Amino acid sequence: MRKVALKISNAAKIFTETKIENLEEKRLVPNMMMRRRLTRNAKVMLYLSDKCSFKSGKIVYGSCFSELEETAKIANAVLEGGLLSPTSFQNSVYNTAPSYFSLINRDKDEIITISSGMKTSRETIKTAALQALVSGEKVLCVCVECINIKNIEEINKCAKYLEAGAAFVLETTEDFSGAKEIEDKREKGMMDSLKEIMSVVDMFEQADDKILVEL
Amino acid sequence: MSKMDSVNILGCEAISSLGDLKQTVKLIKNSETGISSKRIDANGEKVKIPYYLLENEVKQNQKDIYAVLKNLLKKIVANMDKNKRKSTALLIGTSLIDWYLVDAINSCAYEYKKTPYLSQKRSIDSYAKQLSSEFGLSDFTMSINTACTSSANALLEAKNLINAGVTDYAVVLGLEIFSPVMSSGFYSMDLISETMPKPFDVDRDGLVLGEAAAGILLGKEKSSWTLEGGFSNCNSQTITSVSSSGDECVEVMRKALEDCSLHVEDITALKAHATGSNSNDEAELNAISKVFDSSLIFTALKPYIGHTIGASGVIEISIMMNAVDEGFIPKTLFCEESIIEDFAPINEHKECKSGTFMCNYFGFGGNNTSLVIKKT
Repeated sequence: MRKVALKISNAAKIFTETKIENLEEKRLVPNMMMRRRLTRNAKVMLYLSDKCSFKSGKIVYGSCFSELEETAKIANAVLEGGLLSPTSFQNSVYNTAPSYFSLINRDKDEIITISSGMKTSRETIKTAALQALVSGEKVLCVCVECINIKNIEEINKCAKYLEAGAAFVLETTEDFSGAKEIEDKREKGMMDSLKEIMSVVDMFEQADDKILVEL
Repeated sequence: MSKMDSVNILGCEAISSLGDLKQTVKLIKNSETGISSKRIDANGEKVKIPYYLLENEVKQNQKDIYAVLKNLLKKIVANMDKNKRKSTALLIGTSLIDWYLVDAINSCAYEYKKTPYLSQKRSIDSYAKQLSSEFGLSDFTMSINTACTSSANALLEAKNLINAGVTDYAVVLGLEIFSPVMSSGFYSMDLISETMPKPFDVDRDGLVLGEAAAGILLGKEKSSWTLEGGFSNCNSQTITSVSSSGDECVEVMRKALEDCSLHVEDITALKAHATGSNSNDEAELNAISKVFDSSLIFTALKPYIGHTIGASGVIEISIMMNAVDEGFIPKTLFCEESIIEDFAPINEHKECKSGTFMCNYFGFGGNNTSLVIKKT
């Protein structure tokens, strides 16, 4: 195993108990047809990447629940024998959100999508660190969960914030001085799959811009 | 991806609709396919579609999925001692969504068939964690889900891990089993063939899904096969496809060559992604014709084992390697007339015992990957 120090140059987070109201879609995606196709995860990801001033480059994206709304629509159509929407199917894959980012920003770089259950943000940060280490480039690490779907209260017993995401731009540094282990600083009621990345953004907001990650 | 050392391919195992890896390659040599059929729910009725199914059904439950991965991993790490295992990362590439999630939705979120929701279900990555613990591997696990490129991208990440000195070895597993959601989804998009996949053929009418599980062991120890490198990017014209010009695929193939410090003339043969779908085959063949000249030997493996989505990265490389070890490059079945006259996939097995091979994977969301492997 190997420890790397990561220098964070930008970070952002957003979360709410139900639906995030203003994701600035009109400004970020002026093309109406494109805007109407965006999934919730894609909208949150575009918002966060904009807050991080990240327009192109390598991205490591993580989501435990992925495009839950679209997946639920498909599952429902299959169960009820209804018509399955091709748009929902197209939008249901795990890498939908970063793919929309790529389309909208004409970013042609590498994108990796990670899904690791409740450990998703930890694994996403590790993968982003590996990408930065190997490429020597800045990497956007972003995790999003949007689970505000019909009847979610029947299965959700622990998450208070049903739409949430966080992102930070990182690069590796040889200078380990002042680098800190990730501390658990997240808001109570935040999904476990966002635990580490929310904590990193909180640390950055409190002027800790260097973290240690064990690969 | 920066230029990095190649890593060696120390072993591979697989199961497909044709059997285990040895049996699969043997049957491919005899031009046999593993195609059968499956009934799926689509648009309110039962529809029979062609499907490449594993002989022993892997049910959509965690016990079956874990068992198939465990069997595979057991064979792959059989000759590794405790110390080597301790420095072996485990990566899984799949497009399967977490079953507990689907169950949760089916059970509760929508009100069709209410059954109690069991929360003790596993995410895809928890299989990797448990397998890692059971076989005494390193703590480093990763589960990549980038649709058709999942396990191909996992191979690139595994190479990164080894080159960065995080672990000495890495096992990459690819898995795909029957999914009602996925098959109905592809059907709804009119992407499923009525009969069989006909890659690059003018009369192709779609892809045929397939089940498979496969694994590759990478490391620095001496081996006749190497993963030279590759390139992966995300660049699409729409959320599902690249442009018909294939320019996005051109870029990926050229950058893969660049990553390996190779030129087009160094490529002995190319294994195309070649799903048999209308738009992707056209884009890929246009791209191939822009990068290579018409003397290129290229082929498609999906007519033998189906489109195994997230597993295709690992299983198609495993088949290519074993076929070359057997002295041949498999011919492409069911392509009678190529979309581009001068660029036709091989229609007879080609004798080949070594060389440098490009393997393409072009998937949903414009996630495109080209890998280069070499046998000395």
